Amino acid sequence: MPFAVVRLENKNEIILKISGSLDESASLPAEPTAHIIRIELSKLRGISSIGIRNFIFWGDKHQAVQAIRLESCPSIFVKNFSLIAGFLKPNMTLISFYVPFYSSITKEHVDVLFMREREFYPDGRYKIPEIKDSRGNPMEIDVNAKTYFSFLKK
Amino acid sequence: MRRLFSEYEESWPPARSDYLELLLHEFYVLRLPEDIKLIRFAPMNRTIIVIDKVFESFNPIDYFVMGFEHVLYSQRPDFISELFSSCLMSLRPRSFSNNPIPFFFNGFIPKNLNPKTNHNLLLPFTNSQEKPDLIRQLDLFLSQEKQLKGIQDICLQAAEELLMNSLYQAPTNRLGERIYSQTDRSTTVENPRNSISRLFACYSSNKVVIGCEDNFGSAERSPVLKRLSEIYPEEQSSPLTSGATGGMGLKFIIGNSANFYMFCDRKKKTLAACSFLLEGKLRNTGTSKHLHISIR
Repeated sequence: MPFAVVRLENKNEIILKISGSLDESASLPAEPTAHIIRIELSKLRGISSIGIRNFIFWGDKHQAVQAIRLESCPSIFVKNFSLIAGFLKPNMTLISFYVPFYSSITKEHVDVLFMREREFYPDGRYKIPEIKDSRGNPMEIDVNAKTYFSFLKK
Repeated sequence: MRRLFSEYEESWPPARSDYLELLLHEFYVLRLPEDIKLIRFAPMNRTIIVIDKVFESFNPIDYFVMGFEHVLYSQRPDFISELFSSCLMSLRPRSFSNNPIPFFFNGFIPKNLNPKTNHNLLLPFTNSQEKPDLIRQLDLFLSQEKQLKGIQDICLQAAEELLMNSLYQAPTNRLGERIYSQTDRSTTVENPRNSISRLFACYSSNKVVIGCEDNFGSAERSPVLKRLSEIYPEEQSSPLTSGATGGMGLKFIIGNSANFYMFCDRKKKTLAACSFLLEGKLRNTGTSKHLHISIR
């Protein structure tokens, strides 16, 4: 799925809906004078090491933006918050992100959307909801929670 | 020194014990941390490092820097099959580089060169413009198996990095000089001298292997190990800010997968591959990864 950005604008904010893979061919639009940027990432399929570097560079150029709100971040994007220094800028706020769950009994997998002030909080707290597979068995969180959520405490 | 065959004697299939004893008689294991003082006596090309318990200051890359080629974890359920594969890679490097799939899948039936799976994908490529289609085809291939759904994103991310290495880092001219390593990664490049590289993938009921091979054989031990030493043990790493690449590719390939294999026959072939267990993300992204790095 090739990289694409849909740009929407209202009087307060610029909305960037991203799809495809954030790789060497991807280019995020420059919006350095924006007041608020909302980036919607639910259709992001992948991110490469070049894409990560480009996202960091893009963030560097948008540090004057008052707030960059990240929504519906898939786990492949979220893990970089903790793994890559400088990925999450001080003006970036996480609104929602996906957490993978796995059932070792049915082998099912599901991504659960964690929302700010519902499953996680600005002070670093988070709560893991009870998720069940199709047979009613409890599913386990499929990431190292200590690492995955560590960015919340920064 | 512990002889490998006798150390794990109870683990070998009885029906093949005689054959395996003959095959494995020249291999040793160093079981760490217990055998740590024996390291300097170990023949590096015939000794497998086995980690029984992770100890303070342990970093698997240190053992590759010393010259060992395989670091395995005895607590993992696939330990014995990886131990055997490690020996075969050392004993039959040419067979491994010609057709690695049986080494990943066949366990104790090394003579059977047809892997016990018909879920194979082999995609030749020569040009960076082919990459989106290669990824798309791999995505479709992985979509066939329901159990792969939960790890498909990390598989594709690793494949992306393997391909980028193969397209930009591997190609060399006749003098052995890298021709695209400093090229911007959005610039189209083509393998020189009509050299064909390949993306391969294969899955069974419990794991999937994804890899790339090329005919340049240009991987160099020191730079690979140097970068691994920089990025591997740290929980948080920094991408390179200068140069054509982010320098995080290896971190993602190894970080995402359960096992990593890198084999280089100088000026002939480089094969880099990783395998993923079909048991969710966490079983793959954990820290106990079997690593095989043989660059000669």
